[in-house]
Amino acid sequence: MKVAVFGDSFADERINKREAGYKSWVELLREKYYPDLTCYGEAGSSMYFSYDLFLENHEKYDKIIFIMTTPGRLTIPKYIPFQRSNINCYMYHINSIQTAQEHLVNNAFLMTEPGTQATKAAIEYYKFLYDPVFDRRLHLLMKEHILEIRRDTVMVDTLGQGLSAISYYEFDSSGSRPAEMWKYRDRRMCHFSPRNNEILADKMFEWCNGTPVPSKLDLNDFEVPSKEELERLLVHDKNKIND
Amino acid sequence: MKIAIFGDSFAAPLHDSKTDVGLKSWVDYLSEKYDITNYAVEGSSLYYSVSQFMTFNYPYDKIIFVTTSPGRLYLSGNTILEKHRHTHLSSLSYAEFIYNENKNKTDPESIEITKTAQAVIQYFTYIQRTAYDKFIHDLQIEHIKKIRPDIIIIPAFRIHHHVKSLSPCLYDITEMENTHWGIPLNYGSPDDSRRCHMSKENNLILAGIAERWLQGEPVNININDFVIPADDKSFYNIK
Repeated sequence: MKVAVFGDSFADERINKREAGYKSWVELLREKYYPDLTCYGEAGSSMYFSYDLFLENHEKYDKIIFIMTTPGRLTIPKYIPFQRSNINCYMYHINSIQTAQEHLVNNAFLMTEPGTQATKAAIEYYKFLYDPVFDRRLHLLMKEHILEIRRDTVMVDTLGQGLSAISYYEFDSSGSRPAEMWKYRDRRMCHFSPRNNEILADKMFEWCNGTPVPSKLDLNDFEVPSKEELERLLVHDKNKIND
Repeated sequence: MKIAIFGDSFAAPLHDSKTDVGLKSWVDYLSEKYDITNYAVEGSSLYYSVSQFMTFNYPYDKIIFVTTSPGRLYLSGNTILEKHRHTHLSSLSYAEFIYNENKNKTDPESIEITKTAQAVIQYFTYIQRTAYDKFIHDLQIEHIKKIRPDIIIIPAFRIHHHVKSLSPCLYDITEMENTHWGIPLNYGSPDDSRRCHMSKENNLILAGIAERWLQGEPVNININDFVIPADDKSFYNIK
């Protein structure tokens, strides 16, 4: 069976690969269940980025897994030459004013002049133009459209008690976002510990086989990693900007 | 029959900044026969009209929805922009106009307007994606059709990527008149006194056709139904 995965960092099997040293749920799903799995996930990407890829590619696949990112993200158009080299860093995805500011502070040397200007334009966009209601409505319209085209899509949300709640659960059993999270650089594969990537891969397989995706994931199905493991995967970063 | 009209300048009432020279729009003609509420606003985006539609469509027997071009911005929730009626900074050229009008002013409100206009200019230069705009345009139209399957949708502009939208639109009437007078096709002077961008004859013709659409005839804009204006362009303050 040919399977495609679309989404953001919760579905990006490349990001953090070297630092984390273990496999993401995407790789595990491929290894255990679906050898012919293609992953289009890209860290930091917007809903439209994945939606557009879905529209272009979904017909090639028997099964679609779509990880819905958070609203309010931007992807700078492709016609703007953004980065100086084709490094594994997607700075043309901007998910908040803080991300844009961090790119300008920490990664300016990687950006072209138009890339820098576009990043500055994104900051102005978030300050003066961003309309969260508009963005949320379009987000939902894109979700509905995907499900209209492919009713059998395994649609998994990151917000609410979605994948982000598992990510937070690893710090805090309430599943809510820890206040100090912004200080850390998350090196976990897809924001999960090795064990939770394994659990999620199995759940994805079940969902691909007809078990409905729950609107709220049961956090008790997942495990809290040891403090030592978390400390290895979350690196305190003094250059991060508070969001 | 209670009718609501949503849309941009192709349906909007006369803007307060313009002098009323006694010309009637197609909406004015329809209002003589029907109980019409007009929610259309000059320069507004599709999202603005969709938001208005979502809030106000329920009490009406019929809805006429004039769809504008994709990619326009609607800056809601900013009290300064609302006060100065700049929430519809819908294009790069209009944002540049507002920017130039305010950039040398030093009062706090003008500074805020200048910064916002600058953000809009940067947005259109570096962030806007036409493919995205077209997609969300179509998604929104499909959405309102689901809510009101009886909605009468009249395209103001052509959307080139979409085969179905290659059918004529209201802008074709403006283009025909502009061609006749030998003025640029995209002529957009604020002095132009044509209502809804059409001569008095074509507003009257459109009102008649819209009445047939209200009675159930499918929307089809046939440019051959419209006429070359009898008056010279100077009648409409077009130079």
